[in-house]
Amino acid sequence: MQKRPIGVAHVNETQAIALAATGDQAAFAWLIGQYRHMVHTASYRILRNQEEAEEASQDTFVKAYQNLGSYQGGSKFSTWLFSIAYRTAISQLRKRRTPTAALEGLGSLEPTTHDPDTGEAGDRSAALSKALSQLPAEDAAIVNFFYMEELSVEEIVTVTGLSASNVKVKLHRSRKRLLEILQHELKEEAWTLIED
Amino acid sequence: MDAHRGLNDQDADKALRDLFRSSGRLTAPEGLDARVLQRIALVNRPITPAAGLIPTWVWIALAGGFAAFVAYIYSGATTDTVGRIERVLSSLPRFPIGDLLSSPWVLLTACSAVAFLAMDSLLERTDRMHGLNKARPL
Repeated sequence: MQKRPIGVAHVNETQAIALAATGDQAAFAWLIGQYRHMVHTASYRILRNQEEAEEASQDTFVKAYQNLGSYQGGSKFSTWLFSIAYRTAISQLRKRRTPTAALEGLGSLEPTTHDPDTGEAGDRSAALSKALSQLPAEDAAIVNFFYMEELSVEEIVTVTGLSASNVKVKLHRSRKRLLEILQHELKEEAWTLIED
Repeated sequence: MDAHRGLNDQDADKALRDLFRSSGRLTAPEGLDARVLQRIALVNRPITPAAGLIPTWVWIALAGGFAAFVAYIYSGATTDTVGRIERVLSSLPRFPIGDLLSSPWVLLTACSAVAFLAMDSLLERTDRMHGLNKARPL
């Protein structure tokens, strides 16, 4: 059967999801393009290893493709995708024999950001990555969902399956810990910029 | 309140959100898209939950019928329940399964059905191995 080509420039997310659910791989490629950095970042925050994060990202998209039919549109597509990414990465972390702590602090494993900064901005970015690597994997993921992806507590509950009170407690503790680490890591000038 | 350099919770949230925003997301590895597409070309098409062979309303009707049956059994407060069940069961039509299975035609039909199902499963698996599953029509 001839596949119907889709005009990527004219497709919106809802249309792409509907097309991808029928097996249209071009539509699914468009969705990957939209979400690859988000999924990779979420996976990396949990696994803290470039290769494993890529593997988890790939698994996430494959699972998403296979289960697109079960996505009912009740939540945002990104929330649904994050839920798969989170569970995939956590499951991979549990399978891993090497303890997470052994991989912490390995700066060479930190992937580049979209916009590699230099100077103070670069310092802040590096300090943030270092601070996140010192949080438990689950907490680092929750912090990433809350501050980077701007998910609400309710959405994080949907993604992680944790209770709302548990998410709030984790966010509170992580925020405190992050601020402590950042204050220690950042130069005084950079910290002043954050406070502004 | 986070007693941290005088920041309250809201200020701390804002500061961290700004920091995350300025740091940006991590970049997915080059070629991730291609590798995912390569993998999904080999796996089965999206799984859409199949509609059940028996519609939901039939299940509801059956459940209602069963509930009514149970209610009927236990409705008589003074009646012996076991006796009542036996009476209800004996009033049901009997299905002579032993007679049916003794017929060679029935056995032949059952064997053919099993053979067809086995062949269908084998062909399905072969298609999947060779990535021959076609996209569903739009």
